[in-house]
Amino acid sequence: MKAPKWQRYRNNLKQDAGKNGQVLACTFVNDNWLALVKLNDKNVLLQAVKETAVLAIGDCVKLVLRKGEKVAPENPLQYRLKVEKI
Amino acid sequence: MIYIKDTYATKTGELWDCGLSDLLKEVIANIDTSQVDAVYVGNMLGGVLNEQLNLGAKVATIIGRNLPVVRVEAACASGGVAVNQAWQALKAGFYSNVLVIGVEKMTDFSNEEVARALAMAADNTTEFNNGVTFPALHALVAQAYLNKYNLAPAVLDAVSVRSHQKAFADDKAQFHKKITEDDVRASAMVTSPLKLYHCSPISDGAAAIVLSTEQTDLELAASVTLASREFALADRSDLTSFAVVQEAVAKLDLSELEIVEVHDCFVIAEIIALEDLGIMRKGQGWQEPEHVKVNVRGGLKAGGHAIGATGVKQMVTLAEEMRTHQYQLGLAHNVGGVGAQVALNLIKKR
Repeated sequence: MKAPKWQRYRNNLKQDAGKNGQVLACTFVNDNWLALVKLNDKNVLLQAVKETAVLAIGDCVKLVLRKGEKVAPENPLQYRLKVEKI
Repeated sequence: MIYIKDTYATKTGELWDCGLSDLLKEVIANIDTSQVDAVYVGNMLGGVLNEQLNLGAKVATIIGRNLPVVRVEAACASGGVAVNQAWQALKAGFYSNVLVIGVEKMTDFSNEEVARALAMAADNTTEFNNGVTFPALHALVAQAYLNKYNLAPAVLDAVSVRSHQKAFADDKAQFHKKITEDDVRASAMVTSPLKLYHCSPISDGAAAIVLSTEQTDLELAASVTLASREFALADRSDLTSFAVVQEAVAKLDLSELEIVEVHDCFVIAEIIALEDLGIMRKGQGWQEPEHVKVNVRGGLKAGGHAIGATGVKQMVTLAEEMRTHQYQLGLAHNVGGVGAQVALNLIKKR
């Protein structure tokens, strides 16, 4: 990945990390929960962290910065924003 | 006024002995191209999967004449938007006879390769980079829909069963397999609540129509295409209807609609389509309408979904059905992405 794209990606992660939101819709796919989360200012589509229990519409969640499990260490995308049930 | 002259569709399915060129050759061999003065080709994955861009030159070579040829890419709505572009060119008086081809070759590739290629029709920044696939996006819509109307996931099952039953009417459909609601329930979970039988298949296929200023018995009376200002699902104010489709529908008079081909890439897409088109009330799109014939040959779900071909194949199906059964008004509803782009093509019997 070229540097500018990685820089944009990191900035986006920093911008949203730590925010709380509510699950608008979710699906369990490929052993992961994928959730559409409503924040104060926008909606985001993110995976849940592995330890998260079953997600449901209406759940309160927090956006957390986590290392991905399926990507190579040298890939900057190893850092992902995920959701954690509160 | 613009009319439909000639139509042809290949079989849709796993056509192991056909490449992209073979599909193009088959449709062109079965259409009278002698009077054609331009071609529009709907195709999504030629570059990503087949490593074949510049389809215009490919098509002109097969026809055997130098011609203006335009490739149209609008994800799953590529075919329907190609029809719209041809209609506009004819309306503007540039041409007299335009050939519209939709084509896609998908089954030479693994499910992973195809899923990744299709996911490129989602928003790259917010969806594709998060590993999202189209089944997962439609599953989010399905969950939101079931939650909003307090419905059990089982309401999705009957829609699949109906589609498979109807596909027996089409020799060229991908599936001729009767299924029951128990079969749907027993099928593998893909992405909750969508199971295998709630999803359309990966398909190869091609279809073609000739649009003309010369009068025939079928008029392409109106054609509307709109792309959404809310591309990503996260941008939507409502997950359970597609605003861009509703805005396009408002431009048409569908009060006397008798037959419709809706874009049922997943059963939830059919449900929402029937509601967005005003055929069914909100929360009731999973039931079969009584006053309008829907996907009479199994739709995408059982008939097959060769992405770029779909919007054109819908037109071929409508033309053949309207000529056979004397329906007076028919609509093709072709959607790209999860309600990110729509093409509506309205046919009147003359």
